[in-house]
Amino acid sequence: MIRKINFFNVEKVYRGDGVQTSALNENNLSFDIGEFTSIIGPSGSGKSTLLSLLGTLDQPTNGKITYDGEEILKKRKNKIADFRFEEIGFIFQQFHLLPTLTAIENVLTPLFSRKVTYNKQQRAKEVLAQVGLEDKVNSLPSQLSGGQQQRVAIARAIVHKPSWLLADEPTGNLDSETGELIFELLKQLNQEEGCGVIFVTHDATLASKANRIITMKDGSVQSDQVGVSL
Amino acid sequence: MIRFIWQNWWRKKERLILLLIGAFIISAGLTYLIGLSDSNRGTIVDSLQNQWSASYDIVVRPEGSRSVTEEKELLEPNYLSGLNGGISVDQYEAIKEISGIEVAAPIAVIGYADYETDFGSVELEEEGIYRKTQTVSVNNGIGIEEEISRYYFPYNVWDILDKGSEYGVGAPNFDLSVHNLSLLAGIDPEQEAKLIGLDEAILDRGSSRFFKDTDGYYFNENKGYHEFPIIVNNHAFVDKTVDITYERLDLPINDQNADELMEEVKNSGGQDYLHTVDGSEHHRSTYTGEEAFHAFISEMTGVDWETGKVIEHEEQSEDEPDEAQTQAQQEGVTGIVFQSSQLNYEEIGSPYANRWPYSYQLEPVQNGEDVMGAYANQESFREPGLVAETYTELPRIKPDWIGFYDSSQLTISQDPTSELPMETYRPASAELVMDGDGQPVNPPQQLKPNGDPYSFLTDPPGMLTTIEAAEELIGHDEPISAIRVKVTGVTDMGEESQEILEQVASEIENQTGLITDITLGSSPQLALTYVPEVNDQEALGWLQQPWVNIGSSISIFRETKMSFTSILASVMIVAVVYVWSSGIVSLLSRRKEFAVLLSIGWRPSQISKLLLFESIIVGLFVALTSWMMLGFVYMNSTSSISIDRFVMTGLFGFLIYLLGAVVPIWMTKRIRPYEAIQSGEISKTSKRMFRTRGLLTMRGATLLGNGSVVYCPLFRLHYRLHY
Ligand SMILES: Nc1ncnc2c1ncn2[C@@H]1O[C@H](COP(=O)(O)OP(=O)(O)OP(=O)(O)O)[C@@H](O)[C@H]1O
Ligand SMILES: [Mg+2]
Repeated sequence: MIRKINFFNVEKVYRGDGVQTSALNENNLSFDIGEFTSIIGPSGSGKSTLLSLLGTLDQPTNGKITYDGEEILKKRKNKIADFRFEEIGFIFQQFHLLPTLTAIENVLTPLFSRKVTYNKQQRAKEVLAQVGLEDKVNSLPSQLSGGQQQRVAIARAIVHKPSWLLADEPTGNLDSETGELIFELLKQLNQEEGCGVIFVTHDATLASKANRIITMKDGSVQSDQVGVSL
Repeated sequence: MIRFIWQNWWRKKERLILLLIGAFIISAGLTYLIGLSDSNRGTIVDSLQNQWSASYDIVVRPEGSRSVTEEKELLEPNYLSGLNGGISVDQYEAIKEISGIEVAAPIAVIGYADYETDFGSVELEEEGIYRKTQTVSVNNGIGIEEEISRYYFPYNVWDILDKGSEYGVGAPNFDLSVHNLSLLAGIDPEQEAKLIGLDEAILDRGSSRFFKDTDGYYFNENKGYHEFPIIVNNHAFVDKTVDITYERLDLPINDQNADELMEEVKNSGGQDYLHTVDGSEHHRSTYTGEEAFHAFISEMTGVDWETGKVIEHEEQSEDEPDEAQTQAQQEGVTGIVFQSSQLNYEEIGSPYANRWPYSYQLEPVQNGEDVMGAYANQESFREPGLVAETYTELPRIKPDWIGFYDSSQLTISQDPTSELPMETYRPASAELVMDGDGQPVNPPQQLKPNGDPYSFLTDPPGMLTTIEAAEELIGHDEPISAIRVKVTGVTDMGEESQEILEQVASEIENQTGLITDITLGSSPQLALTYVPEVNDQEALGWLQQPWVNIGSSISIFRETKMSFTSILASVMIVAVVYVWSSGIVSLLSRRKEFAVLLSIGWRPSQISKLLLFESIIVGLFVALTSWMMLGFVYMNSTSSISIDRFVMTGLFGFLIYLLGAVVPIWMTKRIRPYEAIQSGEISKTSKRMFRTRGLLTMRGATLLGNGSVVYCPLFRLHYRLHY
């Protein structure tokens, strides 16, 4: 279980065909497990970039990221994948469920060909119950509403018991009421499971409900407020 | 994982259908190309092999023995018997020593032995002028060739002494004898036994046996003849009948008026007058060629044809020797007179080029006055020649019979259309298809040899002796006409066999300077020969013969194999490219999905495995479908397929899909998990794959639908123009 993630002068530059886009400028940040962090900022300010670096989905151009002091990204791809499986759960704005799989099958995908100590089917049903979808176990994504789909995605993100949950605008495609529901779910997971939750949002009201709010602009952290009451 | 893949396919039915259609097309293509057209190729090779078998792989001939027809790689089927030596025994021994040669069977064509079969003499009672008419009727398969000779003589009535031929009569002739020719050739018994099983074809009759090492040649100095062992073909006779009649002419001749009457005959025109005089038949004998041959054998060998028993000598000596029999005949001595020779061909335009692409005309030889016997001032198809310089030098022979052989028992095909020329044992085939006026002959008629050594179709040898004897009889050290070679390890036609044969052939050429032809890859080629008129006889017409097309089968074989392999290779390439491109397209559409799987903790190797599994499943499907289709086709037809080919068909399909998975798998390595977090359809990495360096790749990038990329090279271009 990773307790602390540190960014040391992390810089991310996208190079594409002669054009350089600096997505993140020298950032020094640290995240602790158990925190409930929201990231807010205008479009293109580097929120998704930050999140993907946090979740080992990409490599920084400069600087280093340590996970309890270890530089995971220096490892081989399969090892990084193993790390991701053990520690990180991802939730996307577009849900990214596999359209050909039922809810439970989608939830089971991260466990695919992985050895785990628990019963996979049981665990999948358990997490689906946790997100309130015990009656939609065998539904295909196309038969579910957006909120339900995102809940399946959350179930998928937590089925392998990660210590960190990273969500990129999880409520972005939902109406505010459903968004609220999803937010509550994340908060609940943070409190009950002790996961570190980092979520990106455009919704200032939702963001303000986090106990740490990071505001980004042009690839830099503009403000980092901790200790805001939930 | 199977379940995962299956769900993925099953719940996207339109994609599954497309996938199945693709797989089905590939299976069908493979089944057709490998399974079925391969069997066609097999049929080609099989039929080439089955229809045309060769007792020998290479034929060695003396230098300069090529005929004009060989410019077109064609060998006429009579080619062997026309050769008169040219290969020495030393050269033959050298060839036998070359490694890889299993059999080297020489043939030495010696010449035509002249033999007369004596059936005793006629007994006449009444005196008078007699006419002896001998009618030789030869059935050449197409018609009867009749040759009539008349001879007149007085019996007990008029003294012909000191009388000239103007009276039209000659010395009394009571002979009942038939004249024949038989080709004598030398062979190496041991090699011939290995090549075609000649030792097994010896008839079990009396003391008949095959050659032994102790059978030697001997020259009888005292009497001046050659003695040597022979085995005799039990079928060496022409289909002919000889009819001999004796008629007493209706001329009232007696001792008193004889002189007066003969003067009258002379004044009336001599023989020409006698031809017109009627007569009454006093004797008639008819002998067939077969009877004549059997009688000759009995005479020569002292063995009765029917029983094979030795005819008791005492019996014969008790009888008074016939007056007509010469000393030589009594001793079984005869001579070799005629030398065999080749036909002369001239290429002519074919009357039906579609049916007979090759067509030749025989060029007859106009013989001069000095040419021997019946050929003087006549035309013949082959050049007549004596085996010696002069008549007196002609070898006198006393063949020592040791056995009979039956050429139909040899391990060669008796059908001349299906085997290389084996004229040693079987006449060449010739079918009359059009007469001299170009009118078709329906059905075609088979021409048979007529016993004339210089006619179009010649007889196979009637007697075989050893090479040693041949050398002595011919009198020079190059008695061998040709050597038929069989090479070790060459069983069927193919690239490997051809290679071995070419090597052996060039080895023979290098060591001996003789010419070689590889006969294994040859096949029959129907050629048309026009036999023109000779000696004012009607032209025979157009004959169709299976000639030997040297090396044709191997080239057909090569072409078939070549085109087949290239078709197969291109189909394979097309199939693999198809599978690749469909794999790439499907990967592009699944890129996001894979990125998501990566971001939720899948290992990159799991994705590779997923793609590999998918390919294996489709590959198995293709293999099974191909096998089912093949099985269905073969269950419903009589043809069979080899297990190899059957397995290969399915395996190919499987392999294509497996190979097809390579590129997509390689491409998944470039999928970055963070693509999952980005929105938009075309991912940035795909753009990175084509570094825009030139116009071509620029177009590639545009094709991918990313307009922003185009900007850069244009900008660069602009930039360059400024400097
Ligand atoms: N693969 C890439 N190649 C080039 N530039 C990129 C790439 N990904 C992101 N960027 C650029 O990096 C910057 C930061 O992007 P990022 O996606 O992190 O923004 P964001 O804050 O998540 O915006 P949004 O709120 O619209 O999602 C942007 O200017 C973007 O254009
Ligand atoms: Mg974003």
